[in-house]
Amino acid sequence: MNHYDYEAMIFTEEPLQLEAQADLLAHLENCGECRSLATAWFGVQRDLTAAPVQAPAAGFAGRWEQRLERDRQQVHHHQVLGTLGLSLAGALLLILALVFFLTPVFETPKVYLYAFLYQALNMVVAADMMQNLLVGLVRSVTSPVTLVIGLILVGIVSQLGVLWLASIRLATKTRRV
Amino acid sequence: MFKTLEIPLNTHVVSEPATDREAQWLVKALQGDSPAFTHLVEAYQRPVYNLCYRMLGNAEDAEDAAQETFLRAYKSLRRFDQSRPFATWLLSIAAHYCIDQLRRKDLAVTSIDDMLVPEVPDHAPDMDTRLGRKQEQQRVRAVLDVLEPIDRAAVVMYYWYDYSYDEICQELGLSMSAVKSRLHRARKAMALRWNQTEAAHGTSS
Repeated sequence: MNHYDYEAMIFTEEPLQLEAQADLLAHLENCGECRSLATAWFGVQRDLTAAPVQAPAAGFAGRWEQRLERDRQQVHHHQVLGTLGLSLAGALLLILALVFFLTPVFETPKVYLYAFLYQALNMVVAADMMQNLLVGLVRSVTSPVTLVIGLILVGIVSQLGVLWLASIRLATKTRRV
Repeated sequence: MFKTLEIPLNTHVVSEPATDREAQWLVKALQGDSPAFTHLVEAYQRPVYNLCYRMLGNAEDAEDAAQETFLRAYKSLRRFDQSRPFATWLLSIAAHYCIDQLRRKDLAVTSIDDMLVPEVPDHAPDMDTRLGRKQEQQRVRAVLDVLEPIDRAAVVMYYWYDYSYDEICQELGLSMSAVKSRLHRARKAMALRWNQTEAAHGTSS
């Protein structure tokens, strides 16, 4: 056997056979290097065994809670910044799109202005026609109704309104079980 | 032969298996209840801190790493496989974080002179005992500091937490032969460093 084999025997975690133990002991008596290594390894094991379990300073859990809070704030801060960044990017894109689509308007404003005025005029004419239509319709409906019939109708409609409100209230009221 | 000289190493680092109360805290924490997770922090702060301390070698970095471990665990709690022990999962997060830190900061290169001041208060009654413990601490730091991050994690898991080779393989993502080889290499490196430290102390005294 060579030094490497004896080293393996010194550092092994497996129990050695009696023969191997005797062989190793004989080697250690003659080999100062391996003897020194074995002594050192015993020393290491002794120190590791004696080394106490280290505990953190008091208040570790409290400090952890503070750290968690800091971390949450940091995450929130990043989220806010991210949202802000996205919003800004979106706004910028929107502005660019607007600029792109409105460029022709700025280049030939007269044409667009006339078109706008024409459309506005058309809308006014259409509104006037609609108004005339509605007025004619109301007049044709209300002309046969006399004052008395009108008052009766208003009274009926008022009563129906009261009934409607009462039934809505009953339907939405919480019931006792 | 050497088995007869071996003393059982720290078997009390990780507390008892999760109790019903801890399981309840875990369920509540999974539902987003952070005070419940704080109970878990209180329960496991010691083993996590100890692992970080042994890996990083000083109290300040260990505190930071332990805090970060719990924060990462809290954030990725939904990915926790409940068939595994919670302590093992936490220690795995801590070990990987410490390995990353060591690689990033190159904390492994620390001179023995940097370790002369103890950072953890010692309440031993007499001066000799305190001095003896201080020297032991320095030697432990010296022998651990000589190891590569992954080797150090394997040593800490094996000697402080009684992890089996299988568990170390699982937690560090290594093959069985790699773990055995790394532990063997680490033992030799630690023994050589121990000799150097002893020689240095002998010369200085």
